[in-house]
Formats: sequence, structure tokens, C-alpha cells
Amino acid sequence: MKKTIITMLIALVALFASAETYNYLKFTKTNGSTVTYSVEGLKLTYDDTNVTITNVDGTATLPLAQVQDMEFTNDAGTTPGSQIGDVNDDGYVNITDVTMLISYVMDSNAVTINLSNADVSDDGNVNITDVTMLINIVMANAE
Amino acid sequence: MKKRFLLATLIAMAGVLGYAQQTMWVHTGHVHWAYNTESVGTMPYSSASLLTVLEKGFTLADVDSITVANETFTDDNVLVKYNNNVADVYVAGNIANHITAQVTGARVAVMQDADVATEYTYTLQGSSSSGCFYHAGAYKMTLVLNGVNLVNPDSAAINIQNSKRIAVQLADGTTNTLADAAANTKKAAFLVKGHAEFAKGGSLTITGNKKHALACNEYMEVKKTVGTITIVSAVADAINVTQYFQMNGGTINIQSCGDDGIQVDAEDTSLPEEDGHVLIKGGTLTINGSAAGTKCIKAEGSVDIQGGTLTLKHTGIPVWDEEDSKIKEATGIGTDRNLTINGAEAVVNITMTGNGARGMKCDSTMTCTAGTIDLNCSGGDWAYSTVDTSSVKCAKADYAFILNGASMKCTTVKDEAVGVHSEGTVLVSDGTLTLNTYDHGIKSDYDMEITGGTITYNINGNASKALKSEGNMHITGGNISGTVSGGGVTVNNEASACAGIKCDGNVTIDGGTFDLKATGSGGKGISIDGDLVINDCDIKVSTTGSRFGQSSGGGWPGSGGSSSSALRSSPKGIKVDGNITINGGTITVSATGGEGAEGIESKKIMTINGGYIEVTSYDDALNSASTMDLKGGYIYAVATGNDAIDANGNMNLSGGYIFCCGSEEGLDANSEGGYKVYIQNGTNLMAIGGNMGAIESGASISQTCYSGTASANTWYALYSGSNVAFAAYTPTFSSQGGGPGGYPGGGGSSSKTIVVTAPSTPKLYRGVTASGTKFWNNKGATNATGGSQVSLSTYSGGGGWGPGW
Repeated sequence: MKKTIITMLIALVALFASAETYNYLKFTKTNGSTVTYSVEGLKLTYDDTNVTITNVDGTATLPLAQVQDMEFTNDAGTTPGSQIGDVNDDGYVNITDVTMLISYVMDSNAVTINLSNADVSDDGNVNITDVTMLINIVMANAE
Repeated sequence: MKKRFLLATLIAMAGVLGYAQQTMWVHTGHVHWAYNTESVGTMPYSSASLLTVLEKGFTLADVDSITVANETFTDDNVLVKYNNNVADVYVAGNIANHITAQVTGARVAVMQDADVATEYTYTLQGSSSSGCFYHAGAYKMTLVLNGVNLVNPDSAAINIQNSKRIAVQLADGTTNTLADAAANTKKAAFLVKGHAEFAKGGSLTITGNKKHALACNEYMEVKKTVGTITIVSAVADAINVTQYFQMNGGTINIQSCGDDGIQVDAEDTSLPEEDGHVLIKGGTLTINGSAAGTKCIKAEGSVDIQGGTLTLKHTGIPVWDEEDSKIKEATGIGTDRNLTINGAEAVVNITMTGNGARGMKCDSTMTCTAGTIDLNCSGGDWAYSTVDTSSVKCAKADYAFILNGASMKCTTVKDEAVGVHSEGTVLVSDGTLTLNTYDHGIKSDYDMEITGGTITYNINGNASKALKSEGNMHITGGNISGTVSGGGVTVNNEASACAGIKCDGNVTIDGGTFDLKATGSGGKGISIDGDLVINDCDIKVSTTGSRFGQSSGGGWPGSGGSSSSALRSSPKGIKVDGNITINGGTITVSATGGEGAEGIESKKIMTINGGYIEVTSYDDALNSASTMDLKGGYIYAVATGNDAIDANGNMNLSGGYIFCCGSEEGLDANSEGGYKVYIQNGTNLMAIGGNMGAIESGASISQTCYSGTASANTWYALYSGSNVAFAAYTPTFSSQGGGPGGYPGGGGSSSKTIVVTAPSTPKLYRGVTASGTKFWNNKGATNATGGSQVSLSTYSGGGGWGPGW
């Protein structure tokens, strides 16, 4: 009796074990950084230079030249919505983010940004300190 | 109880919670690649233009999009969906690297590369009036027709260029139709290069507008699970197969075709799996044929029917084959080898309506062992020229026909239309054969052997024979009964009449039960050109027809003219051109058709050593052209219009128990030719004659004979000494004399002279009570009691021709 129950449980576990689904598609860039996107409503399209990622969260674009590979994962990792410094949520941390952060710091009503990503210092505030730190990050990425 | 409940619960949970696969779709035009997200791993990009997934490289310029969905696409599968003028192909990711798919409108081509070593499944569904499916590969595959309807205007609707095993599944509950057009560049609407095995319970309907409807370059098998395959029409064969065709079940319905219904060609006649055979083990097969010279089933190899119900109809006539310079007949089942029907559940119904048709035909041996066979051929003769003609045959075998258990019926209605014809031998050992034919019932060009079984016949054509052997005939058992009712014919200045059994050679009968009737003019029960030997049997023969052809005129000098006897045929019970030897058995013969109606006739020597023989006839009951030796047996011979026993040579009585009563003479030897009746020791005889006497004058009597008076319709007992030799019942005495006009003073009488003899001093009692073993249909007995003694006086020899000659 015990053996039968154990056997059935193992079989059931095996069934569930093989039915793994993924919540994210992770892109690994040529510079080693990664960005993940939710698979919910996911659609990738390609043109000559970019891959456009569309899902429930919106639309993002990655230059194909910067993309190394992609894989499915359940690790949220660095999602477009949680990449520190990616103020405009485009999956990149660059001078555009610096510009938008400066505009926000000067006038919070001027632009809409990802406040979480903008809090580069992680002190709960978005201010000039974050601008300074962001510039350093961008300059470091450019090297 | 608890175990089962737990098990059931676990199973239910597994079913509900299940296995929800996540699929990444790579969409490239109308080809969609389904990858299990668990399997893809890392998918590298290269050169900003290529994405590799599970070793398959996708040129990004060809990728319309990549999507993710919670759905399952089964590994090893390809799905093709048709939607009018377009089609989409869905390919499982795990095989994508081995698959090339091309879609142009609704024309789909899917190729699997040579590295494939796993069976893939290709499923087709949807409809298109300009669509097709082409497949190429080198490994076996499964093709599922899941509600697909394709018409291809310029090629095959389905073209499988894969020489391996193709499992064609008709998905349960689905309807599938395929058709090509006259412009098809391939040989069939559904073409399989390899070997196709059909299964599953859906339906498939095919129309071949170019050539064949369905063609397989190798074998075709129809599994038990098959639903229905319908061929609406084909310009050529409905189904064209090489190697072999096997049907285990399902339904195949061929409604019309321009050539054969099912044609099976051999690839290698020396290999059993490639020899062009047909094997039917079950299912329902219906074929309608009509084209001249074609066949419902045509096989280069043997045809073996072990089950199933076959309904084959053909309306066509023969055709002259210029290449082979011979007639090709329309045929139900035709094979270049053997034809065997051996299945208790097998039912074969063949209806041929065209002239010159064949129901079943084989170039070797036809064996019917079990099953029910009904062959109906209603056509008549067909002629290409005055010398090239074809007559109808229900069954024709070039080598041998064997009936050893099946139930077979043959029906024809036109002249020359035969039931069974074997150009070799015939063997009937079991089963039943029913012959309702116009011409011969069953004919063998060589020997015919009957050891068992039941043959019944009703033959109504002129000069037709129920059983005809151009060789010898040997009968050791079985039951043969029926009526031949046709009259005679004159062909090439020779008369021919009907017969129950006709043999051009010798006949030996060692057993069996016969009830043979002939009702037409000149009809015979048994007609033999050679010798007849009967060792045992139960034979009953009756002929009632009159003489066929010109009469012999008066026969008496000075009376009317006569004509050649070749132009007439007399009705006889048993007529043998050779010798007759009867050693045993029970033989009852009645020949009542008037002039010429003899009971048993031998054109040579008749020898009776044993048996129970009862003959009643108008003309001679027993007649031999030469010597007649009566050595034993129980013989009852009554002739109402001539001699009871007539030998045209010497007649030697040396044994047996003989009752004879003739309106002319009881015993007649050819005294005009110098021959005599010899009555020798050992003979038990009661002889009654007309005005010519009981015994031909001049008889040589070695055993003392006595004469008395006998009354009609009375039991008489002949004693040999103090023991009853035998008892006999006298018939109504005929009122006729011998020839036209009768004998002066002749005429009927209630009493006649009776001559008796026995090994011991005979006594004759009349009005006895018969007892002991009865024979001669209760007109004879081995014992008797009572009665009154008849006064006897010594008999020294009968009167010859009486006054008034």
C-alpha cells in the first residue's frame, strides 16, 4: 500500500516538475548586462537593426548589435522597470536618462519618470544626488 | 477500496492540474515553429541577423514575430491548416531543425531531411479548392487526415514522396475529401511513393480526374479500425497498388472507375511480400466496374479472401487486346495466380451483366474452402470475330477448381453461359455448390473428382450438362441432385442432348448419393463416352423427355423411311458408350419418355456383379450392344414398350436375383445375329414377357427353368428349394406390343407367363407377405411368408417371334 502511494506521488510530482513555465524572457547583451521582460503578452518583432519587445508592460527596443542571446527565466533580474538609472524605462541607461532626471529634479511636473529607477542613491529621494550618481554610471558604461 | 480511491484521486488531480506547456512561436510567413520554452535553453543571436533555436537558424528578416503562449504543441508533429487559398504550417520545435516547409497559397510542401530517425506525424485539416500537400522524406511517417478537403487543379492533392511506411490515419469522426484535376501531372489524386497503411475511423473520399484515384508504389494495407474509403470515380484504376493489397477491416466503396477497381501489380514475383497478391481478412468491399475488359479486383499475384463482405458488380463487356492478341474479359475477381476463399465469415457476391464476362477467374487453382459465394452472370456470348469468342463463366480456373467447404452458387441465364469451368481438373470434397445455369453447371477439361460435398443443379439450356468432364470422373462420396430441363440440339450434323453427368472419359463411382432428373427431349441422367464402373453408391436417375431429333421411322421392314441416328438423341437413364460394370450400390433408373427411352445402356459389354438395381423404362430397361453378363446383385427390370433386358450379343445369367418384365420379352439376346440367352447355374430368375415370351427363343438353359402364370400388381416369392430366394412385386402389365401397330393379338393382360429358375428346385408363391430386407423401393424383399403356390411346368425355351410377323 505504502509503495503504491509513494509511486503515485512520485509520478504526480514528475508531471508537475515537467510542466515548468517561465515568467520572463531575459536578453543578455554583448556587454554582459541583462534585461528581462515579462512573457505575458510577449511579442518580438525585428527590423534591420532592432528587436522590439512588446508585452503587457509596454514596448521596448533593443539594438540587435548589442544583443548576444536570450533565454527564458523565472528570475526577474533586471527588468526594464527595475533597472537602476533607466529613468525613462527604455531598457537603457544613458545620457537620455540623465537629461530626463535633470528635468525632473528641476520640475517634477515636467516629465514622467520611473521614480524607482531614478532613485539611484536608494535613499528614498530623487534629487541632485541621484543625478550625480547617474552621470557617473553613464560615464562608466561608455568606457 | 482505499487503494482504488487514492489512485483515482491522484489520476484525477493529474488530469486537472495537468501538464500545461509553454510554447514559444517563431512565425515565418505561413510557417510557424513551436518551441517548448523548457527546451530552448539559450538562443544566440549572431551578426544581428540570425537567431538560432535548438540548432535551427532563423534569418531575422524572415521572422514575422516571436510570441509566447500557454499551450501545448506536441513534439514530432507538423500541422497543416488549409483555409481556402492559404495554408499555414505549424512545426514542433524539437523537429524544426529537420524540417523544411514551403507554402505558396494553399500549396504546401514539407520535407524532412535524411537525418530523421524518429517517426513524425503530419496532420492536415481545413479546406482548399486549390491546395495540396507534398511530402518528401526517408523515414517512416504518420499522415493524419483530420477533416481535410483538398482539390488540386494541377497536381496530386496529396503526394507523399517518401518510400517508407506511411501510416495514413483517418481521424475518428472526420470527413476528408481529395481530388485532382485533368491537368494533374501525377498519376493519382492521392499518391504514395512508399507503402501506405490506412487506419482510424474517419472517412476519405477521393476522385481521380487524371488517372488513378489512389495509388501506392508499394503495398497498401487497410487496418481494422478504418472507417470508410470511397472512390467516387477514377479515369483509370480506383486503387492502384504495387507489391500487395491487404484489407483487414473497414469499408471501401468504389463507385465507378475507368479501369480496374483495385489493381495490384507485382514488384518481384519471387518474394511473397512483393508478388502482387491481394489478401482480404475483413471489412466491406464494394466495387462497381463498367469499362470493357476491366476487373473489379485485378491481381498479378494470388487473391486470398479470408473474411469480409465483397460486393462486386460489373456491367462491362470484353475487349480485344491487340498486344496480346486475345480477348480480355470483364471480370469480378481476376488473378494471374491462385484464388482462395477460406473464411467462415467471408461473403463474396459478384454480379456480372455484360456479355462474355467472368465472375471469378484465376490462371492457376481456385480453391473455395469456407465462406459464402454467390456468382450471378446474366450476359451472353461475346464475339470479336467468328473465331475469337468469349462465353460467360461464373468461375474459371486455368489449372484446377477445388470446392472443399465453402457454399457457392452460380447463376447464368444465356446460352453458352457456364457455372464453373476448369481448364484442368475439378475436385469437390466438401461444401455446397448450387448451379442454376443455362449451359453447363460445372465443367472440367481434365479429370473431375467428387469425394464429398453437395452439388445441386437446375440447368435449363439445350444440350447442357450439369457436371461435364472431358477427362475421367471419379466419385467416392457427396450428394449430387438436380434437373436438366433443356432439349437437344443438332450441331455439325450431330445431335446432342442434356445430361446430369456427362463424361468424355471413364467414370468410376465408389460412393455418393445421386438424384438426377432430365426432363427435356433426349435428356440423360448419366452419359459416358468411356467405361462406367459402379462399386458403391445410391443413384437415382429419372428421364421423362421424349426422343430428340428425327425419328427412326417405322423400323419394321416395309414401314416408313428412316434417317441417320446421328441426328437424334434418345432419352436414357444411364448411357455408356463403353463397358458398364456394376459391382454394388443402389441404382434406381426411370426412363419414361417413349421411344428410345432406355434405362441403362452400354454400347459395349454390361456386367453386373452386385448391387440393387431397379430400372423402369419405356424402351429396354437394360441394353448392351455386345455381351451382357449378369453374375450377381438384385436386378429389377421393367419395360413398358420393349424388352426388359436386351443384349445384342450373348446374355449370360450366372448369379444374382433377377426380376424382369418386358412388354416384348423379359430376356432378349440377339438371336437374329446368332447370339443366345444362357441361363446357368446359380441364377435366381423371375422373367415375364409379352407376346414374344419371357425369354428369347433358342436360349441355352443349363439350370432347369419352369413356367407358370403371374398376375399384375401381386407379390411373388421365388423359393430355391425350401428357402425364399427373393420376393418381387409385379408391375401393371403393359398393353403395348413391340413396335408401331404392336403384335397381332398383343395388348394388355392382367396375367402373363412367368418363367422362373433357382439353384435348387424352385417353387413360386403368389400373394405372399414380403419381409426381411426390402429393396427396389419396396418392390423386392429377401423373404416372404404365406401366399399360395403357383403351378409350374418345365420350361424348355420361349417362343420367338409369334404369328403375325
